[in-house]
Amino acid sequence: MGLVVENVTVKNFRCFRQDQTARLAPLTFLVGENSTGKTSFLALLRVLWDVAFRGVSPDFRRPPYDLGSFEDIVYQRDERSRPADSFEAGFDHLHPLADGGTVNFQAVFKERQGVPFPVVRHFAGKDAWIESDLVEAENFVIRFGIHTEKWERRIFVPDLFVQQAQLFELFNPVMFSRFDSESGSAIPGELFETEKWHPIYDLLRLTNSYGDSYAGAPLRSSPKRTYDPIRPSPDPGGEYIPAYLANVFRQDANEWQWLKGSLEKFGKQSGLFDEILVNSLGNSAGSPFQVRIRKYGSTSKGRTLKGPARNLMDVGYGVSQALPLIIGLLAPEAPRLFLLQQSEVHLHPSAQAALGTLFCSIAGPGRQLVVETHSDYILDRVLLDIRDQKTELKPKDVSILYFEPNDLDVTIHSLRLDDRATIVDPPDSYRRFFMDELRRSVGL
Amino acid sequence: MCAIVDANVRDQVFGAAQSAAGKFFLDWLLKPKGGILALGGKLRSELSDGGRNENFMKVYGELRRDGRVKDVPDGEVEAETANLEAHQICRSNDAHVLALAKVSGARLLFSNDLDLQKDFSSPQIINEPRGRIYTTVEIDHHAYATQQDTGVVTPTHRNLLARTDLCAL
Repeated sequence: MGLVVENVTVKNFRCFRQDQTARLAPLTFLVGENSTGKTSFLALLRVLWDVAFRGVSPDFRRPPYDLGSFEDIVYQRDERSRPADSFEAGFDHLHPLADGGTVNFQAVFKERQGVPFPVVRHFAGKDAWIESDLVEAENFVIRFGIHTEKWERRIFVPDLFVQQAQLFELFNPVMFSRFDSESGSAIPGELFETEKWHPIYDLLRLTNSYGDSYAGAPLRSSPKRTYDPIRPSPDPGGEYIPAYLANVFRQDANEWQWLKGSLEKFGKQSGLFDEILVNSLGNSAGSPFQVRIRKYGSTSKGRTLKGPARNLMDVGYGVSQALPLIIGLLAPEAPRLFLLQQSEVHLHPSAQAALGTLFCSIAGPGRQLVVETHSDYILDRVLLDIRDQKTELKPKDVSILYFEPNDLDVTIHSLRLDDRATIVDPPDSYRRFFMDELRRSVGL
Repeated sequence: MCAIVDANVRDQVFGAAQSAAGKFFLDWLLKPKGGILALGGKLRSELSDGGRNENFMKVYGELRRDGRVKDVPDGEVEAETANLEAHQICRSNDAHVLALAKVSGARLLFSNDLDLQKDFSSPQIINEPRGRIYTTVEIDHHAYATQQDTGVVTPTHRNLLARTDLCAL
């Protein structure tokens, strides 16, 4: 499995004017002051993911993000200047089908019906490329190329937002014309050898190859004393979590033991809880249930003092804040891309550090985490776990993206780690506030 | 520029007994585009006092977050320490400090230990470039004695911290 997203490029999007590239790794942190575009970057990643890999239309307002309309999203220097008429973004993807090579995806967004629409989508692999280009109001041109040869076909699409995502599914080589670069005209019906199509089909398969990403926000679900069983449907606030736990508990004893064990391991490391229980108030699958946690006390003569099992609503915010995220990360059918926003909220520093260790255990080539954070405890723990080789992650597997405000624009710095997991040569402003505070505290 | 702080001046830099030159050194470490602190081996626990020196821990943590700690694995320092001790070329009993300089590339030492100063200045031990000493001890050659901190930051202190070439790696 290759890394899903790396080398994200962005231009004229929100506060990012200049064309810049951010290096993503299996575990990526977004750090910087408030209002420097970190959450916008997460929202952009999810939209790129949807547009590139899921065959769905972009939605910059899907919870937990809401970036507004096109004019809220496109770059505008200041109140006197005109907003840009488009923005561009893309990424590289290590694609297992493309000879282990990298596929580059780029999209150009323009305003359609008040919101951003990907007028150009371009996938380029090692041997081939495909592209959809909205050339007129309702007319797309689908192009593809292999080495120096190029083919194209014009498609009428009356409902842009419904149909654009499925454009590549209309692909049928017989319906394309070869584009003659010398005459600049299309030569209809000219076919070529079948084996040439393989790299094209690889790219086409990529356009609908992954499930949804996980987007977590610092929202706290509203815990209840007793739940009625419902079909769990993931939501950013984690309201589905009690039902998910009850489903696993009632339907699959092995999976429940594994999930319970994993949750309790994190619970102990973080100090949040020692035991998690599902208490069914009846024998049928439709019976109400409760989710409870328990803390342990001291152990004496082989006997551990156990506290009372408490409902989620009777314990601190930290537990109900953290549970959706932890379960989201640990679930066997978890997505390949996690976009996490300030997951440290409500957590004690020890729990934040434990979260860092959990991130290290989850992140890898097959499961990529992008974490917006203000927590030194998370970052410190991750870097120390890597330095002390308490995780399989290596320094190259972590990227720290520092969002540096620069007048009204923002520059993204991809910070590198040395072999001792120390940040190498960050910009002067990176820790300036903290250094100034420290200088003051030590009397300088 | 990469520097080492010896345990015998720890309190002058990080502790309650801060001297003028010690404070100047700490300011240099913490200011923008300031110094890099080399750390590893036995000196790590000497400076942190087993984690009890709160000021040092705060400074170390923040320097590390800002990429300004040359953090050498303890094992590498210990191996080089054993190598130096085997060759019996050190007059001081601080081979671990010299070893840290050799493996980290640090070429500035803040220390008031005269034997260690001589070792650190010896091209047979520390070379390319040679080590330089930042100190609050002055030698009175007439009286064959040393004089402790004069309470001022001298031009020598300023010149040493203004250099950018005292790093081997």
